[in-house]
Amino acid sequence: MMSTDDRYEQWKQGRANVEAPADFADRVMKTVEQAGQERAAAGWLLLLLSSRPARISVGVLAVAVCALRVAAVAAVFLFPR
Amino acid sequence: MSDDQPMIQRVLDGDVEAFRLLVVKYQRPLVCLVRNLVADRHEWEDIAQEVFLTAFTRLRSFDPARASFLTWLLTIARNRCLNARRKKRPVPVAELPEGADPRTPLAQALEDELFEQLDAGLAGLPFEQQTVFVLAEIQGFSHEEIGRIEGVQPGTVKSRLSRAREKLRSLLPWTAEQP
Repeated sequence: MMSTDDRYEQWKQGRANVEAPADFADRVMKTVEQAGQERAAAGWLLLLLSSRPARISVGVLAVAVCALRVAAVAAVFLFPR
Repeated sequence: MSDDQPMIQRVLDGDVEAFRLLVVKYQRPLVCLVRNLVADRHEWEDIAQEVFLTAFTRLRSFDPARASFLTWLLTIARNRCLNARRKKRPVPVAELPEGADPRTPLAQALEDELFEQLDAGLAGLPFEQQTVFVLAEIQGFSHEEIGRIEGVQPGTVKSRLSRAREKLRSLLPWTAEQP
């Protein structure tokens, strides 16, 4: 019969014998690739917004879209069909 | 480990697939630590994945002069496991099993019971003692390496380990038999 110390060592060995699931690396790489794509998309946005002319262009475009939308709403009331 | 640096540099240069080499190389020690600190299978798998994802997103902040990649990875894992444990109800000391009953008739049953008691004893240890025990006794890291992971001096690691061993050994039958 095994001694208590041997069983204690056996328990520790059992706890040490842990293997990662077979597809673990694939699952990790899937999440990493997704994160990489999101980071790349965010990188483009950062690159775009880091340039002053680009920021001005984006601002002008946003104002123009907003003005067009306001005009479209106003037209409903000003020029009823 | 300096031989990781070329792989890390490839990842930093945009070669995402190079990260797989690091995952394959270090998945076993990482999973072993997380598995021994978090009992629930789904939870430990999620945490282990998150640790690698965090390592990937923060790879630029890794400083090889301060620690090896494995030490850095295990530090992230340790912190994740601590956060997971804080969200759960702690195991009160009163719920920990008492000393093993030496009168259990079958040796196999005794062994199973002993292992279950040791598992419960390990899970019931304070977190800092649990991590030190797992890293030192189960994974074989040095006190210096554990000190870097835990952010404490090797002397503190030694005393935590000593307390953890003492508590777990108190669950062994020969201890229970003593008057």
